[in-house]
Amino acid sequence: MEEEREIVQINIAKDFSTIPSSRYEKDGPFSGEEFRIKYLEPHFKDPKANYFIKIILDGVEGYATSFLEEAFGGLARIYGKQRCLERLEFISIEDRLLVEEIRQYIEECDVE
Amino acid sequence: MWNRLAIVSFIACGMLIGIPIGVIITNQCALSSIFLEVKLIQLIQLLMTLLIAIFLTYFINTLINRDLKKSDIVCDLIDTYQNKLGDIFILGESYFQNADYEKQREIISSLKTASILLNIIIEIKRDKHNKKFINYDGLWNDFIKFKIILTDSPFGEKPPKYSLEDINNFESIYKLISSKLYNCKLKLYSY
Repeated sequence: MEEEREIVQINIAKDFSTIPSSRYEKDGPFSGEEFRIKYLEPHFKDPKANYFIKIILDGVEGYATSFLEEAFGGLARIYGKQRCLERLEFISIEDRLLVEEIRQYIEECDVE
Repeated sequence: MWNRLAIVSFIACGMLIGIPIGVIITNQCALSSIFLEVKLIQLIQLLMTLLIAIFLTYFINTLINRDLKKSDIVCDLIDTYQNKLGDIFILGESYFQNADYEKQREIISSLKTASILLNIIIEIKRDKHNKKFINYDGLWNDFIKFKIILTDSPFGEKPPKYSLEDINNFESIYKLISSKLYNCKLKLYSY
């Protein structure tokens, strides 16, 4: 029988901000970099951790590409595309194309 | 729909009653007896032909109207999406010249609205009854390119520095999307 995997939920509007901003922390609060460091990276530091991270995207004003690319593309650059795609689950009822957009940023991130 | 059905039924009934009355009247007065020697079977054939013609016209008319209404709804949606992109384009041009936080927020929220509209248009494509081919996936890819050019770095930086190439690319992709949307609308009304 397949082992049930634990799920951790991050609601960006409730846990982070309803007005996510741009790419870097130096450009102001609620940046993609800040979100990645505070909310995403702690779940990826343990290489054995394999629980799902459900990210609720609804309830915010909108997302700039720079925010999404730095948060999720940036995470994929550090921890690998495959690992990110396997563990992250994106939920958006308001804007369904957003999920495809984020997956595209992860898949197309330039791994150094 | 019921109103139309009532009108058609009314005309059919009128003919069913009117034609025999007409025949009786003319038989007794004006026309010669040879002209009025109509067999019952001929009368029934005539009535059947008329009824089939009326119902076929009604059926075809209903089908065409339904198809046109569907096209009108999709066309309205494409119009709304196009207008939204136009607003974002104007905002983007203004942001390139003079960036501020208010414009930044307005661009982000408008892009969300545009994405939701595009999603509705794409959902219609997934409807199995939608027989007209429109490359909606192409529309999505173009929308993402448009969004990336406008809101990827240096967007949000203080101050953002856009190159002339960025500005030209932004104009080009907007023109490309506009022309594709016009083509989509034309395709909706072509047979």
